Amino acid sequence: MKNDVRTLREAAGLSQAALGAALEVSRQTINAIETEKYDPSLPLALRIARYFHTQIEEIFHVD
Amino acid sequence: MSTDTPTVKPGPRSVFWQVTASVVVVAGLATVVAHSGNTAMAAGILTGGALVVVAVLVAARLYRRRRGDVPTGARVLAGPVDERDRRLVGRSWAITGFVVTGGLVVALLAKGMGAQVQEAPAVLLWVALATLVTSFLVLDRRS
Repeated sequence: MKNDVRTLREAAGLSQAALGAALEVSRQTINAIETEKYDPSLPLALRIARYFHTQIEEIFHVD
Repeated sequence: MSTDTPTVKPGPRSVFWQVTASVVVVAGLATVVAHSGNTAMAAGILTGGALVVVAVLVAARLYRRRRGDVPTGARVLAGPVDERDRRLVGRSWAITGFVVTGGLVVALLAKGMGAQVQEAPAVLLWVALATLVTSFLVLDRRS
């Protein structure tokens, strides 16, 4: 699923590992989400949206 | 920019359950093989399996202390696991179960046709192990 996680992360000045630590997931999971190889679960997607103070629909886009 | 930091270390309880599960798997494999009559291989599985489990856990622990970025395999063995890790492990086990089930069907059909299948349990165990490890590595690379 297309997403803007990388854009938001870089705008926040965070590394993948730092974002992963903040969201309690691994750096590999963040990388997999950003490269669109892995779709996060709904709870994780909600945590990502809340972390960046936005809505899920503004981050994740259905193909 | 924030420095990279590893995720939270696992509690001793999760490590305990992983070690317990590993011991159960090794003992189960040895029991199945022993029941098929191959006691020498069962003894080898117990010895070798226990050594491998201990070696992998020690290596995973040492690896975690040296580097902040923990590989998926090390996290699965020593924790903590996240949702992607759990999904990888679940899919790997599912693929392994599918392959082993297919192998069992083939072995039963062969036995029904009069073939000698005494070595089938041992072969299936190795196939299961190879399938589990290979599927985990491939899925980890692709997702």
